[in-house]
Amino acid sequence: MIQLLARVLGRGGAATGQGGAPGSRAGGGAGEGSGRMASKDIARERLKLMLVHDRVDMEPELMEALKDDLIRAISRYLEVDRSAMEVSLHREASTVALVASIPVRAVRRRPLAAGDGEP
Amino acid sequence: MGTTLVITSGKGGVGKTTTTANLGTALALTGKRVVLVDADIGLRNLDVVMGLENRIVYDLVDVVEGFCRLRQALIKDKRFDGLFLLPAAQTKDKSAVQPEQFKALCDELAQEFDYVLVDSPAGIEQGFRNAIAGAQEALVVCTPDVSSVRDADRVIGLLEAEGLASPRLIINKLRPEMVQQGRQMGVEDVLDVLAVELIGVVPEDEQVVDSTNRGEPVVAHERSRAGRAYRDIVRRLLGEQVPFPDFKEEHGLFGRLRRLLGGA
Repeated sequence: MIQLLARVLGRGGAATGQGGAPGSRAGGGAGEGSGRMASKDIARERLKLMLVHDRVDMEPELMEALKDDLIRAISRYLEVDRSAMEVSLHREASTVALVASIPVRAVRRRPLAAGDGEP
Repeated sequence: MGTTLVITSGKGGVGKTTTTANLGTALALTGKRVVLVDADIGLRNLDVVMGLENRIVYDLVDVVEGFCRLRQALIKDKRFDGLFLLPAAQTKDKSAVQPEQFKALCDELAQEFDYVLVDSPAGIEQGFRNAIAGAQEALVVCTPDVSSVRDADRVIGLLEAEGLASPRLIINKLRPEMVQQGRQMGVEDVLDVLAVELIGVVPEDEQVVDSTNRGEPVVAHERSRAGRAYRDIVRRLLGEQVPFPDFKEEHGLFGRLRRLLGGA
């Protein structure tokens, strides 16, 4: 059984923590100081994480395509049971995780050439 | 047969109505026949932004319910040749019109006009569903802040699910000084997360406030920064390649002087 876990990490605590007092002007200059991050960069990081969260309810076709690509890559190295494969996206506090559980039937001695994997 | 274009955003207060009024006026100034449709039933605004609030006799719901003919409800803007407004009802609610009825209305208008611009209400409920029902193209307006961009992303997803495959983005109320100081997301930051085609960047401009107070579209002001941006969007809508201006120069000494002297 392979358990695959890919995470999208947010800046989480760091982003909100560093902002300090809201409205603190000093957060301004992009290049200034080492500790303070420009507020626009904090905005962008927060936004990116939100959008990952929002888009977790992925279209089924997109999820199927992701499964196909995963199987294709993994099949070069392992013989897996596609029918028992489970792939999902999980929302957590400050991260979104791709969790895949894929039963392994056999391990190959050397990788198949790209494109030779089972569909 | 004209084109029906919906202007939408998800979030309220980002400038959908101002955008609709100005794009419509700018299109009319190029010689197109244009009708502006206010889809915000119950909270109409487009008539006010256009300064046409005293001329309303019938509204969109009257047309749909058969109390008057479409032609009777259209208000001709006497200042701009070829520009008309179909106002929303102020006292009904959004459920007074169904998406199929809205679509039929847009199709009928598109027989007679080159452009039908639909000003969508905020939100993603029935008013939004109505507004997009008859559209072939969509423009999404957002401001460079986290909640507005997030809502724009949601709306883009909904538009694509409804077959409006490639909505184009207008970034409104951009403050170039703040972007330069790293205190506001810039055009690249927004495009980086939304991954849609950009059709315009409208800088924050005090003249928009003045114009709205007077009920005059800001595009009519030759020197307004926002007005110029709206005219550029219209040229892009009409297929012209128009470079996106770098707003930085506006903030040097010359820019400041020019604004002091000319109000540009």
